[in-house]
Amino acid sequence: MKIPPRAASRYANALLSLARESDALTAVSADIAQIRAAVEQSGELARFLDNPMLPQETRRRALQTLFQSRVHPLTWNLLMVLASKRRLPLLPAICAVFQSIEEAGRGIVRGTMTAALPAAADAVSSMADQVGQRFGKTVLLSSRTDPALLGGCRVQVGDIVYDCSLAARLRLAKQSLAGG
Amino acid sequence: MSVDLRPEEIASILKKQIGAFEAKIEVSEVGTVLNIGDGIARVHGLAGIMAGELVTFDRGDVTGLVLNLEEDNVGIAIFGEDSSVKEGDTVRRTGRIAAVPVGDGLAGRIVDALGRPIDGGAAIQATETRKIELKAPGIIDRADVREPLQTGIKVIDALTPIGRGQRELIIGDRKTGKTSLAIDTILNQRGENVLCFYVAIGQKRSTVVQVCEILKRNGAMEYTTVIAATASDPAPMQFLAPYSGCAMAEYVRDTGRHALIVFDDLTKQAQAYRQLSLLLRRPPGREAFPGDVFYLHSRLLERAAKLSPARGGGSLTALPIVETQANDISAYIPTNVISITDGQIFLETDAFNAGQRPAINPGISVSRVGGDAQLKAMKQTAGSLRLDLAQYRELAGFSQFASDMDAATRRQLDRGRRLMEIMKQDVHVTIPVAKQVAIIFAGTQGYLDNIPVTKVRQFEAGLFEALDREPAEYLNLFNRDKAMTPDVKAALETVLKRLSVKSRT
Repeated sequence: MKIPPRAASRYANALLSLARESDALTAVSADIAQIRAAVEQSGELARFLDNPMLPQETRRRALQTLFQSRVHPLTWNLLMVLASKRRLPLLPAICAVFQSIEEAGRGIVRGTMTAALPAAADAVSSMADQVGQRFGKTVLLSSRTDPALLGGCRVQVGDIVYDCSLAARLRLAKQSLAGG
Repeated sequence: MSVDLRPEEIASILKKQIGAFEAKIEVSEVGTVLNIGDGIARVHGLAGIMAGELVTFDRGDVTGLVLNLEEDNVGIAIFGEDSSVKEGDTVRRTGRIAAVPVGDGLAGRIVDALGRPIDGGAAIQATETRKIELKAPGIIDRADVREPLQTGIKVIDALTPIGRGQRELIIGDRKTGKTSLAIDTILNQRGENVLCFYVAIGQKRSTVVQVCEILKRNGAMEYTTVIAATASDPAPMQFLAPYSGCAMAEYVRDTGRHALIVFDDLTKQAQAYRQLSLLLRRPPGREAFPGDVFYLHSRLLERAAKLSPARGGGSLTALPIVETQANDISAYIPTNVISITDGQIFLETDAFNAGQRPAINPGISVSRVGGDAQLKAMKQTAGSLRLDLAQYRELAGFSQFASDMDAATRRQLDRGRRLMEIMKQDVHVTIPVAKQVAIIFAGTQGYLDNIPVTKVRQFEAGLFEALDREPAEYLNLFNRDKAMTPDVKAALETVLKRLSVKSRT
């Protein structure tokens, strides 16, 4: 668990409001999603961003060939600003923060559903609908498996956990027996 | 407790509990441990948490107390072993504020800062729980201090009397008898309907055992609760112990009874709080204590109060103890606590080593409100004592250089020496107020002037014996009038005259 650095949220907020002003939110969000996916998939790109030894010029040229033609000018400007200020290691964090605040603006929250066995896709989406109704928001759930739950499932959205797993029930039963 | 439980009974109880256990969804608010160390955890998440709330850590079955709320994390002090908690662990809100069990089931028990028994006895039978941090009673709820709390120590009851609901600081270097004074005061509450609470903060476990032994041996444990956060307990427990003890004592106060609480000692509590604050990265101030260390003690001691008749008329008397280094009362914590309390009792190493025990310095010890609570008889008798002692101290300094003195000066010195002698008292031997008045009366009225200084204590013992043995006229009259009426005076003078004749021959 890592808290995104404060600088990351500053850059992300700035980019978001710029994108809104120039009506380029869709394009910029698509860019950001694309960059995030690229960094997650390619370890090489992540290492390149983190490497402080590369000269300024090399870094700029590499970014140019990778992104310039594929992204919106605003996104490209962000990359250039980061490169010149030696803030490129922040890029993945900026992308994550950007996505979460952009989604929050549209009433979307992300969460995870953990189950003992792999859950069917429709089970996950119906769970997401139900939890979404409670929150009054659209909930996107990613699915995970954890045999330690023994049975049932656990849904976490933000800081709130709905735990209806067998493991939690056993823990509660133990507490109520011990507490008399 | 050796109640026989039949297996079938256990089975039926369990069946009932399991049957009643609903399969409900557990909803909780969680966070993740970012880092942990030195008893402090930083946690991400827990967005809705409140300062002062309790949290539980999933692993290790430990609880924590939320102290810092920051923009992106929460600072939590851990009660218990922090080595079982790891980075990335889940932390859960409980929605509860720290509370301790209160009630009469606590008398005679030794508990920790969270009210859990540590004397190996049964679980505490508590009727209710109380929040550890409560606001002190307001102005309307209070009455002024007017009943005495007899300590059974001559020099205190005569010169710095303590009233019920007062806060009297006991201050001095190490090994000057601070704890003994407090323990003696607890011992003297036997049969006085005062429930006592002894909070041991940052002490050695062996010392706490010793204190409990003394209390037990003198039959004081049955009305005393010991709250122990020893040196090996984590800092949060040492920080919290005085507040828990106070919450337990407040219950007594609010049910219209009288309570006495001893904080031994607040220096250690301030040090524990300093440790917590520095680890939480709060800015250090003077002596590296945090800025709110004054409030730490003022909000605690403000809870000692005498309640108005409308609120039941109960009282909570506090005897905080502060340890000084090399008699330096201008250090940060001593000055703070001196200014909070209603008076202080100074103990000095020099006096202690010179055999003047209790080693109280009567010159700078004061009681700001206790005078109103002093028994009339004591007030009438001890009035001249303070003056005599002050004059003696002044002269004693000069007389070291002077070879010959006029008769008046010598008389004053002689009187002073004898008065200092009757201020001496053995440890754990408390004296009822009637006898205290008798010996002080003897001293200030000159009945001791013809007795050698070394024989004064012998005379005192003889006097106490005589008062008990001979037709107990004086004691009866005193306990009826509580003042030095001519009758009481005459009865006492008869005994004194007979004794002083006897001692001369």
